[in-house]
Amino acid sequence: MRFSIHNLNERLQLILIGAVVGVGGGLASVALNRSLEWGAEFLHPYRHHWYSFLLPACGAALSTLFLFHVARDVGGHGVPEVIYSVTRRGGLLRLRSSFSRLVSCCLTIASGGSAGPESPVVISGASVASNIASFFRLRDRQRVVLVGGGAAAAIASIFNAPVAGIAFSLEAILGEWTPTNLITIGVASAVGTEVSRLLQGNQIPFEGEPFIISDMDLVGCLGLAVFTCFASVFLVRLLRYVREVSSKTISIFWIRAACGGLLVGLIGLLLPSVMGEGYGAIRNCIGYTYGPGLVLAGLVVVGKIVATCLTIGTGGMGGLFAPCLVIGSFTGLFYQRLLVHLAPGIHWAGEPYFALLGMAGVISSVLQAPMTGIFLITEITGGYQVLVSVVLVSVISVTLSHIFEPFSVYHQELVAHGELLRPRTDRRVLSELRITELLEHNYHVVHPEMRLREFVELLKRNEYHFFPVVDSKTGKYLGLIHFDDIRSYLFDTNLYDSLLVEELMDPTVPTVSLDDELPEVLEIFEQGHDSTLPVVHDGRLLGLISKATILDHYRRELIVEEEV
Amino acid sequence: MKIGLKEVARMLDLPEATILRWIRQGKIPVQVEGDRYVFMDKQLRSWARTHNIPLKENVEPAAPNNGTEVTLYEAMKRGGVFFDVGGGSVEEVLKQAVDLVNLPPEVDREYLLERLLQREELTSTGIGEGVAIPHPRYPMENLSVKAMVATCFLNNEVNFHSVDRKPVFVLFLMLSSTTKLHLKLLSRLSFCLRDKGFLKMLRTCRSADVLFAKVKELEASL
Repeated sequence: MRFSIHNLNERLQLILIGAVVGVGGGLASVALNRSLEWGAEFLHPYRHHWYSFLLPACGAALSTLFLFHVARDVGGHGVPEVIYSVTRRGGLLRLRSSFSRLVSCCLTIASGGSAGPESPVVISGASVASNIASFFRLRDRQRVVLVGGGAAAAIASIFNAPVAGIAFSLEAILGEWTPTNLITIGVASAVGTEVSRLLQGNQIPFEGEPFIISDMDLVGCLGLAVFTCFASVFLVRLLRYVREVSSKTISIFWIRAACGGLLVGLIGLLLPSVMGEGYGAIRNCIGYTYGPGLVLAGLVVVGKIVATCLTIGTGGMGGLFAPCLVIGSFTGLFYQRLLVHLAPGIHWAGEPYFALLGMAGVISSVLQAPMTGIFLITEITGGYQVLVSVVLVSVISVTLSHIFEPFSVYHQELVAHGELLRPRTDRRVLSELRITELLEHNYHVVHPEMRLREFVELLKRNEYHFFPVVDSKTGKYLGLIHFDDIRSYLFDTNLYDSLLVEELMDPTVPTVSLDDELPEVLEIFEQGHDSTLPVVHDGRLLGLISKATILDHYRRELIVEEEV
Repeated sequence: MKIGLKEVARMLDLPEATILRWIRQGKIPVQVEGDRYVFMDKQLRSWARTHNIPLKENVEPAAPNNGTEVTLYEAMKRGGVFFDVGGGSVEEVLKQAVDLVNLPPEVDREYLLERLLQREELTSTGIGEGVAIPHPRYPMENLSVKAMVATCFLNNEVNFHSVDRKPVFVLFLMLSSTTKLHLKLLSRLSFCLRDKGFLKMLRTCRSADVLFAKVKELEASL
């Protein structure tokens, strides 16, 4: 049965397996949700003791110890690993990744660390999907799409937001909107959502009262985009800074995480709303129940950003989704109170309206994924009547923050290592072609002791243009003769018997090794005027590589990737 | 700084038609001044950087070749002319020649001789008509001057195992830093040797100046 699926049409096959993947993603998120609730309940009695500020430190240390020593998984909080696997490893992920980060993230968040459960769920869903695809012996191409489906199902089920899951997967994980992608991911996302609805009920996570908005609010929300842009740029930059500094100063990973957790605990003594994943704080913003005034709302924004960077930047396990939502809602709250303070005469819409827009702005900018932000916020708040303002704030905020931070927080590391290779881009095609595939053998090997007279005879007999020179005893490559370079000596009969091939060859032609990356080879072509280079490995000639063949293969590579 | 269409086409190493199409399609940042396109230097550079496109910098027009290139005449002047070089065999005359010529200090005479003999072993450098062009196997990479040709007239004609079996009476000891240069000088010398008058002159030559003048004249006709 496992292999009869191969007889189906590709799309049908992906739809069927996509549904299975959706179940996996949905279950992963329900499992994490339940354990988070349980963890919070279990630790509740301890939160009122004086030593409660130590909890995040213990949680973070345990969380990293579990991840590296018990589950023996590799680091990172999830989404970048999934993206790397999709672009470079054909979507392969370890099976243990499907639970390791869930446990680890549960320890971090339940103890009070400021992080979200979404990234770990994404990698769990993706890893389940990857292993299901491997079980059915699907190829890289299908596995990648299914991994996207797993990620979509995870996001969709944790937020009860199917469209946001689709948008997230297409924008952040796969980076390509094609029909096949969309169909598979859509199915997985729908099934994932349904699974979580069956098990947890169909609730809109942050439902507020209906909004009454005026034209002035539409103008006012434009200003909010500037605030959300700066909040997200601040978050992204501080996160990078904390990561760099902490990994330089503290080399033992669990002590590093514990130090981060300790600082978070101290911040939590002053501003309790920054602790944990912060869904409660968002409900307060949406439901008019956040009491404290303007300044405190601003402080919470800064405090939450710092706490999140300290938690995630030092190695604590968790994602950025939930913290972004908290930062966004408090930014919106702060902005609304600022508006009321500055222009009390105008009747501004309520706090929930701006809190909701703030969430959309921050999440879109941090992820550099406007569609994800727009759909996520409308779905989790049920705020379809303010769709126009959500779109405006998201788009403007993304545009502004793009100037300061052009890449999504998930892509930055990959970009820095030159590993962000989106489908159908130049770098991607070049990274997939191997030099062994491009070898040409349209040449005739000659030996250095050959005289010009014999060489001319050889030229008469064959049509080649290239004559690599190889030592007759050791077999080592010595140099290359190109027909064009020696044309002027060919008719000098005086020299026929005294000129040797080793005197004709060019030993300075740059050589290519099998380990070279294609972009480097193309750079050599770009610099010199050679159009063909010898490929030499361990001193031995393996073949030639030419610009023309590269173009030929490059085209075919693009052609087979085309979707019909 | 503003750059024109022609210059941009040169910098990108593309035909103007491509640049014009890119402008039409909006693929390259451009500004319109009156009825012509103008590119801003800074804008163009940042565009090229983000797209990973190499820009060709403005290069000085290369100096005419005869200014920098080594000619046979120069190489022969540098090498000098020697008369009455003794010896009865290939090894002996080569040893004499190596001892006589003015070599830059970085060249080790014994090593050079070894390289010359190594080359003779592969195949004779006697190219016929009593002329041999001994040179070391592999170019002399550490040579401070680009190339030099030392002319040695022999006391006695020596059997060099040339193709035409004629005994050799003159050696052109050739040292060069690269194979390309060696090939070039060799082909120029070969060109001179095809001239019947030059060969005749060599047979009776007793003065360096006459030789140089003839070489210069022949090279100019190339």
